[in-house]
Amino acid sequence: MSPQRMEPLAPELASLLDDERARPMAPEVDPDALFDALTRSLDLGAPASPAAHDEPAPRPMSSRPPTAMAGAVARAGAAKALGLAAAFALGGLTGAGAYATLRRPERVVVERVVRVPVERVVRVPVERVVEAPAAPLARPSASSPSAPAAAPRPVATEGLASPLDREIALIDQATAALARDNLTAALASVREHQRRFPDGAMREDRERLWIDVLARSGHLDEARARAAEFGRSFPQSVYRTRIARVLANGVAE
Amino acid sequence: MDGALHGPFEAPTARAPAAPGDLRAAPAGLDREAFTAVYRAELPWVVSSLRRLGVAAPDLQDAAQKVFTEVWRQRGAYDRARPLRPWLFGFAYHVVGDYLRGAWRKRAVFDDLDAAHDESVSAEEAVDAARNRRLVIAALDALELDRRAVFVMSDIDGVSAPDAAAALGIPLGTVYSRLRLAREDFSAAVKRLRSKRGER
Repeated sequence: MSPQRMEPLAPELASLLDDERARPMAPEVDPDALFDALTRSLDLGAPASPAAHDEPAPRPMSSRPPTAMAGAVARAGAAKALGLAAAFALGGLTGAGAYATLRRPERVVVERVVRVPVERVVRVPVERVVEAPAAPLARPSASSPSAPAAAPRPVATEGLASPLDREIALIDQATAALARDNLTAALASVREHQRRFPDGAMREDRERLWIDVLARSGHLDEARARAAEFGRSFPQSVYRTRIARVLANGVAE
Repeated sequence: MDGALHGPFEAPTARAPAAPGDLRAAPAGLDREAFTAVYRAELPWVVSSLRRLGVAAPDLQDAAQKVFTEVWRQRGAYDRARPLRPWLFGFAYHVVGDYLRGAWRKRAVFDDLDAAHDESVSAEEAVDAARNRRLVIAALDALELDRRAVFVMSDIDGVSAPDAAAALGIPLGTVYSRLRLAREDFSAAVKRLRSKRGER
């Protein structure tokens, strides 16, 4: 992928973030107490104290062997922990993705904060109007939305700062149209993106949206063909599972 | 496009520190000593990241414990060829996701937002670094977690876009998209908060 251009932050905001980068350690966190808790819960064995790592570290209670039996129990615990870690490693799991599937049930819910989604309005400077596509998609009548799709809105991105911003605006527009069930407008946006940015940074997102549009409009053969090409182009894409579901259901999630 | 780079991705790893020296000796993943070294070196940064992602101050210790617990459990998966902090950030991101869904939060996040949204702060005080940090946290609170995470990684921590994409499990293009939207949200929130405080 070619290097991307992002506009720099305004100097005023950048200065704010400089202060944030210098944030001191939160006083609410006690590093030693936290490490002790980790040592106990994870059966780390005899760790070097993080606070005094250059000195001989006191052995934690969990691994101190006052008796042979206690020592055996500690070793068994360590073996169990290592076995668990090996299982994770053998499973080929990595980082955050693995965490999502492995985390344990969590503790008691005491309070709940409900966040109400607020529709976001984006104003895009209009400098050019792109004509609507010649052949709007026809949705099968059985799955027709309650209202006919509105005419595609103009794709106006020329006033944006950089090619990447213009790409993003087109993809955002396609995504918004798809959310409104306006398949014709969504198709217009992805086609426009392909015409102007065939190998752009947002190509993966464009192709995923295109497959969604085709599947939802009942053009399943075309959607499958495009999905096959997607799989070849983006074999590691996080969208692959979603695309498989879309093709199976004919409906985007 | 002329190939020139601007913004947070100009130098992908310029501000991202290398892994602690202990890790270079580790044969694979993180052994106990390497884990301890990571904990010692990166705890302050992990705690700051948790705060930036939305964990209230009273819950930071529990959140940090959850992060390092998962790091230990998945220590065998650490790839020394990749920068450490984005990998750690992935754990923090998911811990905070659970936290914001109320899975284990002990206190309402509003506990310390009164301070963060202190409208009595004057323009003169706003230049103080601590005040600025409060303002940043308050503005970050206006961002959805997905955008917030990308913003924190790229604009605060200087993580490269490919590393952010890998850490968060999202396509590269989505990183750019979320960052653009996050910057808009953040800038608007800063203006709104400053307006409430009677600043310019």
